[in-house]
Amino acid sequence: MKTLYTSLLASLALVFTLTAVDSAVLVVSTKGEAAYKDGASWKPLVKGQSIREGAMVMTGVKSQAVLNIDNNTLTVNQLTTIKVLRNSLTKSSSDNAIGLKNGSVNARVKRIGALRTRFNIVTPVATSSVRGTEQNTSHGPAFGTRIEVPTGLVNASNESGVSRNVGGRSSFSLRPGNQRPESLLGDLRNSSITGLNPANITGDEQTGLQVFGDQLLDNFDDALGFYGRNVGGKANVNIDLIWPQP
Amino acid sequence: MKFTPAVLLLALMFALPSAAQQMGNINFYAELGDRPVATVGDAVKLFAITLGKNPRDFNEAKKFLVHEGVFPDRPFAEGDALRRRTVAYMAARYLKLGDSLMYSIFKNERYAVTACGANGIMPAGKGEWDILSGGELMEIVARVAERAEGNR
Repeated sequence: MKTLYTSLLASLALVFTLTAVDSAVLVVSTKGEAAYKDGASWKPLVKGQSIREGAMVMTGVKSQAVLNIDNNTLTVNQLTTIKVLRNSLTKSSSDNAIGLKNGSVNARVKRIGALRTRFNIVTPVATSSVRGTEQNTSHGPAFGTRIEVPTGLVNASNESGVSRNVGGRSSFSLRPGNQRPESLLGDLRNSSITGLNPANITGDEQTGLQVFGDQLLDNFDDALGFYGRNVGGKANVNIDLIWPQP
Repeated sequence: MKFTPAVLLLALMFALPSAAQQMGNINFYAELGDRPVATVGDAVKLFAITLGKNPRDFNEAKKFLVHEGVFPDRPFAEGDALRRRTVAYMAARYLKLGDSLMYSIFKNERYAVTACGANGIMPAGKGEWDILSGGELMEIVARVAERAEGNR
């Protein structure tokens, strides 16, 4: 009878597989269908369990998984596949990289004292570095890679040498097949009924700006991090409002 | 405690099918994400799951979606390559998109593609006869599900 108990309990434990490892990636919560894979097959992801570096996590329709990675929070949204590429924590540094194969994630990364924190989200076409901030990243074959930053500042780069600092109401969008991202302020421009032009420009320059718009104004590479150094300062901007003639 | 083995056995009996079913869908998503060409069967299954149904087979899922008014009542085969226009029709019907004038009049696949492009469900300006990959289908369905949750 004792053998029967043992085998039944072992079978139940197999169904609800719990992995006790010393990894720093902890499952905070799951909703709907969530699974992980650290070997040949997918297994159910369970609240409270840990997963190792190299493991993949996948969610289904209307599902979600929230992971605690070295005290940073990563929310894996529905129909998303990620891989824990790097997960290393020492007394002086925290170094994490999450590969986003498809779908979308929300990352909230804390800046903890003197701890050197590196938290990268890597898609097949771009990498973003999050530090003391929050970002939403999505990737897929239809829309490409997109990064939005509700709070803080994120650097987004790709292998073609493109480097952009994204924050505030700007967003980074790299469409499939493109090496250069769309305008950081494209969303604002598309939802705006106004156009902004520098003062004192010629008619030809104005036509050029209407055609190429912010590709001329803000779509340049920022390899030296010039943008980042100027964030947070004060500036005076004079705006002349010109209403169209009826 | 004579009933303990029976209770454990009962728990196991309930747990096994539930876990298998959940893993069944996960394996479906994992395979679909890597597939270069998605099929009508994949789209029908994914939309049925999105609408809260876990169908046994293609015919059951199709019948359910036709009844819900989400899938056109035409002779599609499960293995047919998935065209953008078919997914657009399903998305537009499910989300009740009506802000495209031509789609609100004709409600057909062609204008559903335009309506989905205008609403950010799929990239704008794409061909209605494009064949979609499994990854594209999943990305579109994720946007549809997000929009549906937002509407609610």
